[in-house]
Amino acid sequence: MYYNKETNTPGDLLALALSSRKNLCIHPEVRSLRLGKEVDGKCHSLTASYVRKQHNTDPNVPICSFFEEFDANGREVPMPAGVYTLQEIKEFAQHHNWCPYFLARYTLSHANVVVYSYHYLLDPKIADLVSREISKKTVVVFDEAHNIDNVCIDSLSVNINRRMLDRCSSNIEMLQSTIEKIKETDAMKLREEYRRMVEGLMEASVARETDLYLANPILPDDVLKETVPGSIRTGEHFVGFLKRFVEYLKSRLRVHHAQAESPLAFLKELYDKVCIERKPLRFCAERLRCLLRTLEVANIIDLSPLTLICNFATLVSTYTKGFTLIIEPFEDKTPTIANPILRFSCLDASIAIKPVFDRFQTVIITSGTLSPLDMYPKILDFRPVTIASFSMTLARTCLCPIIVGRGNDQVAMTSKFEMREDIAVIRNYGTLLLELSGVVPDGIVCFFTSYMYMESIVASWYEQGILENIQRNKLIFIETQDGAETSMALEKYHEACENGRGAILLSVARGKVSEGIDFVHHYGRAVIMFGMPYVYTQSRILKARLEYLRDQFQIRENDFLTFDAMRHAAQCVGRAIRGKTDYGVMVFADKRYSRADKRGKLPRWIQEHITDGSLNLTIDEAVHISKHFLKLMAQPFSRDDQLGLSLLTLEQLQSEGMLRRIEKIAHQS
Amino acid sequence: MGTSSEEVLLMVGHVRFRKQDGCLYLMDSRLAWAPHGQERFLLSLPYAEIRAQKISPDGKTKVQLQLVLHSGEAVTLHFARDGDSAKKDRDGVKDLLQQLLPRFRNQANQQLEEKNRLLQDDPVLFDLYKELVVGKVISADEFWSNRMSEPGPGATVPGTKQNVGVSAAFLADVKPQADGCNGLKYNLTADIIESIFRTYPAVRQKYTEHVPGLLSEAEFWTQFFQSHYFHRDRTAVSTQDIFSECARQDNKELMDVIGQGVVKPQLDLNNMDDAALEEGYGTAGLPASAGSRGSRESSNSAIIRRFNHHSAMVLLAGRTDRQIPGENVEDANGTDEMQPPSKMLRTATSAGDYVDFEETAQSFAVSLNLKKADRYHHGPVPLLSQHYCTGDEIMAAISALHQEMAEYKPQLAQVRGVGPFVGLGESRGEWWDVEGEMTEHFCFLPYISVQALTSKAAGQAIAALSPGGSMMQEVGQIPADLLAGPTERQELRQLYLGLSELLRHFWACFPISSLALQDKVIRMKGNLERFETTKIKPFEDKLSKSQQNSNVSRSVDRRWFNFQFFEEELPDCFHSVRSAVDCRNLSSSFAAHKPPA
Repeated sequence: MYYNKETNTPGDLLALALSSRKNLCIHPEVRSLRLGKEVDGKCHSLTASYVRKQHNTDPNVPICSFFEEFDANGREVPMPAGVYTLQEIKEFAQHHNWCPYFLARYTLSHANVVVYSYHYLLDPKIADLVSREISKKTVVVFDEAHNIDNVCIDSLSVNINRRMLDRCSSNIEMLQSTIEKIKETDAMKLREEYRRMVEGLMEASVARETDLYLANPILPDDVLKETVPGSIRTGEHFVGFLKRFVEYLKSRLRVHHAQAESPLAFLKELYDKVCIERKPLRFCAERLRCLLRTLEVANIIDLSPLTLICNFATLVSTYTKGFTLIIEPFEDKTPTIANPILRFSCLDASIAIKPVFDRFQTVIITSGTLSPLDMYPKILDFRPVTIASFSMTLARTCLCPIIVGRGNDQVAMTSKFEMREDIAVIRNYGTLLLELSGVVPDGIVCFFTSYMYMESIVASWYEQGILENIQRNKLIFIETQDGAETSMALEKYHEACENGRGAILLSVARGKVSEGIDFVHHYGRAVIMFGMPYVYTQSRILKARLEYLRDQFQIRENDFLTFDAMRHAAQCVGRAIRGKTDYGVMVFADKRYSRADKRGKLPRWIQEHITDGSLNLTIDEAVHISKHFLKLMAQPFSRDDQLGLSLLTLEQLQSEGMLRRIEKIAHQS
Repeated sequence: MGTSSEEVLLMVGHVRFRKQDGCLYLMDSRLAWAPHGQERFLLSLPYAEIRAQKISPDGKTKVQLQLVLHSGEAVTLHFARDGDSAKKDRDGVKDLLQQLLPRFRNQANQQLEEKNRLLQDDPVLFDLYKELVVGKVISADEFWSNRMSEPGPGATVPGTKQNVGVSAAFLADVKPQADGCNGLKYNLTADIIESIFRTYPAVRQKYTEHVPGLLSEAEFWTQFFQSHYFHRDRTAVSTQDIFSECARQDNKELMDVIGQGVVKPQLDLNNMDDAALEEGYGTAGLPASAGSRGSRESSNSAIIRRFNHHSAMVLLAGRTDRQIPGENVEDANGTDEMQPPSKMLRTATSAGDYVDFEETAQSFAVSLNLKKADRYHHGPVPLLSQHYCTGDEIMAAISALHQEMAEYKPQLAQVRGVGPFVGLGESRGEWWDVEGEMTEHFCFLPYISVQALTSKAAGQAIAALSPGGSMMQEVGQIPADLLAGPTERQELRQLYLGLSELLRHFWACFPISSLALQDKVIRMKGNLERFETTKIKPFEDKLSKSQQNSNVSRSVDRRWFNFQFFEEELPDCFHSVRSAVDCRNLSSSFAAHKPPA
């Protein structure tokens, strides 16, 4: 848009963003549901091909007019060039009365730039539907990729608890009755399906895009290109098969101590106990989809537990390496309450991303907080062509990272497990916040290592009266585990920063706020990181993963944990600096940050501003430094100050010297 | 007979005032008395002016009612009917007044308070008040008459009062102190109570429900501080706690606010993740089932919730237009569907804007409307008597002057047009008649027509005003510091201020368009004379005593108010005051001496 305005030539770039139906739907009835799952289900029930067929014979069957309109006219003319945000797509589609979601999906194939979530590419369940059409030559950029390994792992992991299994049982019953009903009325349909199975023509009738709900949970390469085994070919048999499987899982959940086993061991026991073979298990997901299509089940969402189980079956029977199966009788935090859960967890992030590396010519992984860089090729198991780390070109040092290691009483400040409940540590953390709240204007964001820790600290600050004193300076808002409540707190926080009162937001590293919310300018003049955000190390999944990393990739457990903690710390702290005109103090309140092995894992753009003078400070020193820094930064900063340094004119950009300088910066790493 | 629209609440005959028989009327907003057979009220008192009423003792023969006014005067009414009926009359009046007066007392108090506040805020004004009113130069009414109407620079215009927010830590200010016998003492001030009420409307409601009837105020607050509501970290709720309902109400309110969702889409965490993993997928695990949280945790989360709620309420209390949460629900629903595209676009892109590329940086700051800018910049500093003049004020004055200069246009044509309207009634003819010969005198007034300002007169004026001219004699030749010690200078300053105040009143009477104004001019003239005799003369004597040179004292006068000139003109004024035109004549010659406001 900016280019268009400046050059006065219409751009020939077609760029758009794709999101889920929840964000794109304009059908008044459907979008009012708000919950992503429900929107998807409702949309499906209005646009599935059999529903539309029924509508042709019986006009009373409701369909989505927007989709019909799009289906009739939308494909003929490609979208005009331009850059479309989600909102603009919606407006465009509204104008034509087309469905924005399917318009965007359709445009995907010929757009120049597509912005969408990782899941559309990494999660095989979705990628197969959405991203199949994208050409091999496409350049794939994973931006903000510091958490890419977790996305990969999430996309192949499944959790099943008792409630899920119960719902699953009722699903199966429902399916059974539907099959009986259809058998009486429309036996032809079932026979037709069976015939197709025999011939291995499962996908012969190319499914309409709207019919696809969830694709196979496993990677395309691993899908068996065979006919469905005989034991699950008929609907009744398949349902019976599922029933057995679910009952087996239920029995497995009746444990009193945690168990961990490999998928192979699980399969063997499964065969020994209930005679379920591996092969039909692999077809579960596929077979279920097929059956649902045949039965024309209207509300697919109700069947999501069953889909989950089938996906689990397919996953567990397909992958034997890089996965683990853990059954826990209760949660670690609440050992008294029985809440058995079966976790089937991927341990190897490289599995999910491998098809992406194989398929596309160019894959770029980038983020402001990818550090240390060499860790990513290891855990994602690829060989990078180029690695470069850039510092920030700044016209002024607009960030001020300081490491506060001691209180004024010289007691070390740290969130180390042995020290964290120490009253002196908590008090010192409180004093730090109190002192800074008197110095820093507008917004301060604080991150704690975990929600539990924050709760206990807030409680003891409340008892000690520290919070009340802080309230003299600023309002206090606290992240909660409830999304809506936190959103409200966030909005109020913004309001308080906006009207000059100033506010403090207490939130949690790895929480939603730390991942998704930017605190530009006055919304975040200081970030305080209380402690090092180490992941909860007692979790069995994590232990299994660490073990796997050690065995397979020769990554030491401690290295990985520190890497993980530091990337989250950097992520939190980086929330405050979102531009060259922005500025903010970054306070690392833990003495461990001073150590070279921890500090060295921070991104370069932060590291290079940590001087020896800003290591292991006391609270008073920290307050003094930030006072000085903030006063300096608050001076007017105009565009002219940046020109030639962090902002280039066209001439400067084209000049020899500048190009050489840029080259030099690029080669430094 | 007065304005007919007034409702007469009570009419009592045979009431004597100043030994004259008449009729007493009690109206909507005033009390009036007219003698028998006359249509004019000789006494008219707005209720707001009455401070109190007194009645004569029962044993006395005369049945009287005395009204004491705020100004200190008293009006005595004598009820002159025979026997008991007089008493009945009086009691009727008394009872009605008893009902009416409190209603107006507020109004009166407000005015008094406002005056008090003005005096407290403005030390200069206070000195002036001391000088003029306490020194009996002018009466308090006169002093205030044109003070109150014009809001001074920075003064609050009634109605647009700035809303001051609530301190977030107001509960922290209630520091409990151990009273030595196993109890706690909480100190509550009116401010804190107000803060509590504004922040927690539910408590206010409880207060109004309970306090006069069921509980005493102290009991109410004792219960408040004992309640679970105040100590949120306690989880056990007793049922007889009157505040448990407040807590519920707060919770509901909070839920309402949450239910409304957030306006800024980039802050909506629930909407943030796109294509999120469905339930059961991923490593994060399933949402914890309800009831799995221990009591310890729930008390912690209650604290957290409390802080969120508290901060939100404080913010809300600070807002000028406080909305009832229920109101904007409708709003939100209405705008949800189709927000104006501009708004949506702005919110959608605002996060990723590059200010570098924008030509003009937009200013989005909330403008502070500071009453005392210097206090904001320097913090609370003790006011340094009158020598206190900040850089800002000076700059503001200079810029205002510049602006005035730039905008100044001699409104020459207007004078002729305005003339007929200014000289109202009988003076109109005179106005036109004399215009021809008036030119000389009007030459100092900037708004006189071009023809009026002859070059000769202009030359005279300039000569007179330039250094060394008749009017600027000795100006700036002797620095004030040399003249006198600090006390004298202080006194001189006071005098100067006093005089300019008087002159301001004096000039405010022009043009004289009514009889009242004419009276006032005469009165003010008297005031000026009195000021001269009671203040200036002694000062002059004192100066000449302490300073050997009488010339110095003369120059003092000259320098500050050209008093000699003033004296010469004053009798003139007195004689010619009957004619409006003559007054204009006078004003023209004074214009030059009018001290800078």
